[in-house]
Amino acid sequence: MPDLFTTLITSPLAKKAGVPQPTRLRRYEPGGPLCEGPVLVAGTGPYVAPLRQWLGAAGLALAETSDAATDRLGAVVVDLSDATDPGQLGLLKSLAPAVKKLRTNGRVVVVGTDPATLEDPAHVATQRALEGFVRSLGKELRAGATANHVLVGGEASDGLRSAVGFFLSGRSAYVDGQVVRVDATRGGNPNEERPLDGKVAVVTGAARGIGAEIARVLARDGATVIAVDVPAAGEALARVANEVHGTALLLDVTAPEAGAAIVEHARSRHGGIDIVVHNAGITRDKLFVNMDDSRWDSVMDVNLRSILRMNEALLGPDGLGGGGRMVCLSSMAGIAGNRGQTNYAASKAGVIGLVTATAEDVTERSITVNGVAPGFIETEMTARIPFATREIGRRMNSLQQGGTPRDVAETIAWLVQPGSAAVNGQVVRVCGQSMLGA
Amino acid sequence: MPQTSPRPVRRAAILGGNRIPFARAHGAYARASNQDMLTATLDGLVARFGLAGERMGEVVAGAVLKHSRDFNLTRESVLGSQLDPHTPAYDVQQACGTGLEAAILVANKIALGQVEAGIAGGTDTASDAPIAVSEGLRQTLLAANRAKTLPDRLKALASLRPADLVPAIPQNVEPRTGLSMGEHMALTAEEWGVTRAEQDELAAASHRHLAAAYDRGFFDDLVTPYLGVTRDNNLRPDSTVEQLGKLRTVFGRGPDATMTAGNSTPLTDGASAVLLASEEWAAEHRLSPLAWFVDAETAAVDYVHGHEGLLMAPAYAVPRLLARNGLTLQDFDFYEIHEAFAATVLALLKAWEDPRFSKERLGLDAPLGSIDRARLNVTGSSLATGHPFAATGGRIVATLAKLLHEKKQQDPGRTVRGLISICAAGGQGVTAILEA
Amino acid sequence: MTRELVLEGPPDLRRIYATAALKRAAGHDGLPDLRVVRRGVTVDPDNLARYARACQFTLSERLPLPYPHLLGFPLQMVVMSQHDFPFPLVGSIHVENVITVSKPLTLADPLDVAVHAENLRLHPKGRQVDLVTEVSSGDQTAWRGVSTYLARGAEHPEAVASEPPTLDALESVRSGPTWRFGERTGRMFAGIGGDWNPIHVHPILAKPLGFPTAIAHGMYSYSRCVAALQPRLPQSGVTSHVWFRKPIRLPSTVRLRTAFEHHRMLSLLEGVKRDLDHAVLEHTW
Repeated sequence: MPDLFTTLITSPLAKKAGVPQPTRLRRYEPGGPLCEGPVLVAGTGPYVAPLRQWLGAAGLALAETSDAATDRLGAVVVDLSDATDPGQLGLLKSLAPAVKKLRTNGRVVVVGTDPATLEDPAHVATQRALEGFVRSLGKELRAGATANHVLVGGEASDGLRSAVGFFLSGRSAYVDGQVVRVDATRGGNPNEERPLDGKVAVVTGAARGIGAEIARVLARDGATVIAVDVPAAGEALARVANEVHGTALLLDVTAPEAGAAIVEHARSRHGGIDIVVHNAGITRDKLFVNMDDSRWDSVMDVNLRSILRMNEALLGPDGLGGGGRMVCLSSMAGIAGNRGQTNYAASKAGVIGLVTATAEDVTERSITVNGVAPGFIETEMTARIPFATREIGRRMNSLQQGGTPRDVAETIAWLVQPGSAAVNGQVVRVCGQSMLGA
Repeated sequence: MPQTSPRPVRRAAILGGNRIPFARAHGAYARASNQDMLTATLDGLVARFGLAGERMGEVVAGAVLKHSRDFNLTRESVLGSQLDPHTPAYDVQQACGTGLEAAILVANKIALGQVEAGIAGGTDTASDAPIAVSEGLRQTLLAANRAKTLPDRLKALASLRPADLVPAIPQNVEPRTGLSMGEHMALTAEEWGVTRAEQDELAAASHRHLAAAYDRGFFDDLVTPYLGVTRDNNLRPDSTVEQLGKLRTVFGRGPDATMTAGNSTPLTDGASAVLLASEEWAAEHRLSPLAWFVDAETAAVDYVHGHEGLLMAPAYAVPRLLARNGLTLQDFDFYEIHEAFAATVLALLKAWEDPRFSKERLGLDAPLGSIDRARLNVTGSSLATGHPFAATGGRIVATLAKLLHEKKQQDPGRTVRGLISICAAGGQGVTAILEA
Repeated sequence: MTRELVLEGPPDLRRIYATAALKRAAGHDGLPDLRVVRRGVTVDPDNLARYARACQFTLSERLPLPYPHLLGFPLQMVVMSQHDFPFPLVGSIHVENVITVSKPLTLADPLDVAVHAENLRLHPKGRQVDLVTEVSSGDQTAWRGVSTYLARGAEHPEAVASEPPTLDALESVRSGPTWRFGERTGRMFAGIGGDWNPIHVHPILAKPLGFPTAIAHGMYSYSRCVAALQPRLPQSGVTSHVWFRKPIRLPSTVRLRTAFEHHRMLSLLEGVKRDLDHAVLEHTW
């Protein structure tokens, strides 16, 4: 039920008074179109032609120009990855009419070159400028539209395709103003309808909330799910496992042998592990000066140390193999910090460090490790936030609404696809472009 | 004409089990029916082993206290569960032996090749027990129902007496002796000289062992919480002999009475289930057997006119089972002897040690001897978990199978064995051997 | 703007029925701009257990799909008994109900329940209105029920009414669960759900209102159907739609026939003796 404040601002009166109304976001449905409406592919970069060809093959109508005669656009994709001089960015200006013609839930995707791979100051400056453009455009777009930025390093054709596909689709409904870097690693989805077919996925903290939704979405995309949660959550976990026709594994992720137990269960029951989602997490909020040891220790242990410990087994000889995927749940608090959450934010920032470092370690084994940092997601956990803070959190983002557990799950389901092999060591925020920690 | 030839007998594997935490009667599960609890238990098992939508060879379970409307309790529970509705099921009832007897039935069908995989279980609720109308009222109602005309019907009803309106609440009483099970046990305890101290010690150990097993996560893959209960709520981890020694006796008479509420099991609600399968089915489903079902023996004693205690039948079943399998009582790594009362376990152990009993009652030249008490009920038993009659067998089979599996992993070179003994109303005893 | 009426406890339905009987349906053309709200409602485990037993749901910590309707029903009564509500309380017929579960609810969740009326519209036989019940846990609407009521009155042949889907898929389905609803079914369910509408209680009370016998609560027969189907439904993301057709006169024997399709179940609840369609159900997810 919307609370009183929500009632006030969604009432017809408020609409007249000009309080912004959240748009119903377009969310992914299997079998549905990648994007609603024609796509304009513009720019001067080398990927314009391959993108056109691919989007056409995916059944999307391609808009030739942004002139007034064409339909309202579903998306604008711009490749400026070849731009070496700030002057070349003027091309963006010419796209303003097209952006103006975006439909509800439209998409803008800007393709650039990873500045970290460049040296010439003008070149780096030009490419870096694109990020500022995308982040600002994200804040200007209305009606559920998003703007995101893909950075390519090397001949990143497969990775680019995966990332652009994600940003165009309803899977990225609540991902806005984000930068994702793709490298030259090859890899495609053998089956676009069920990209995770035949994969075995472990999801921790799967009994309820975001974890349960991750289990559902991974199962929908074809994965066999091992749903893990603490023994006390067994009744709810059993229902989730049965719903997704997976298996329930009751264990405490902080137990010393938790990782080994997961590996053993996955190997003996399903022949191995392909995907691990470290989702289990807790909050024990208190202002720092009043925080007792147990709050600090339990949050650190569940949210961070357990992942480090379990990864010894999960990334060990019997754990994830070539093509393996790992996703760790971080949080906006870990990026921007949050009052009353020094313990939680520390643990979730730690997760980001863990993701970056682990990704480098395992890259030569063709495993990817990525993070997802949810912003304001409507769950049992956020419901405990005091009312005013909660309402602000919910509205303080470019999409002017909270996200759903599904939005987080869809982003994870994308990161763990075979086709996302080129995305590694990234932390994708699912926050509707939160104004916190932009 | 094609010839059929008998199939070789195979081993039945125990793949694992599930139960809901047991809860003291009229407490957490007071509103749950047998069907509710059995369905929740099956769903927990289904989730643990990924059996959603799977057709099983059969599900066999039962309840001791059963409503007449629950005539098809197990099948109804299967239909409400996440198993494939094409899974057949039937009910069995052998008092407290129900759960183990169900496992024997499934194991035997697997051994004979009649089914590939099955679930055995049991459920009981003392909270939601059936209450019957009195015999007088029942006879009157049946007569009225048979009457063809209104006057005949009224005549039949007129024979009703006020006392007939008092309902018959099920009692834990042997129909042939009118004695409660506890009173029977008190007689046996006295006969065998089982002391209060021994009983309290066994009870305290049961609580201590169960608490330790929970603490080390032993039950994480054996128990699924239900209605907010996450552990057996009869468990008193800090139970001591001193505290138990202060309790008042409830069974037996006079200063020699030894049995208290602390060393007897309370009325309990709960359900359990065990997954059994052939080796092939287990391999196809990538499930590794915890233990194998080796053999079973059920005995009964004449406690009505004979001179044997109501709960002493396992004393007779075990020697027969051992002889058939060429084993001695000392050949086991674990003993799971159901603690209906602490005195039951102690009287059985004394009987097996007693040369006279062995010679006169069992016809053996030498007694079976003593057991290593460190191997007895090592993760607690009914005194601590509670005892929802038909659910106890499934609890014990799954627990023992896991214990054997753990032991085997530590000591892979040899066969590890466990013995189960469960006494049941009607002077019966169900026993079995598992090995890994 | 919307007025919010926050109730501290469950409303006294007997009083509402008593005053409603006196109330005359004035010819209001609008709906009260009112939300009736109860916050922090906890489910009474006894009531849940009685409901589960009566409708044959398996009792677990999860609330059966239709159960939150029972929490919203008294609030619906409050909305419908407002002086400016255009329908009479007694005599309005529950003709359709749509429940959407977006998050499974459990016994442990404190729930906020809110009811408002919307979508007053013409029907070929009178007028219809939707009573919308929203149940939320942790700030997120987890369960939403839209109960459509019909008040017979001036005919509007031009109006379009919601029709159930075609039943072709059921042609090959010959059998299904069959239940006998005894004469006391209405009183039994009124005791659980609180809907003491006289048409459900006793033939003597039902007759003056145009029914030859007492009739079963739509929510009861619907709940029985959902209980029979729930093992095959996912926990959330489900929409359960029922169109109530001919009322079930008590006593009666009814049968549920269901066609199971991919992400859809279509069911018909029908009389066994008299060939009557009592309800059509469609579940999608």
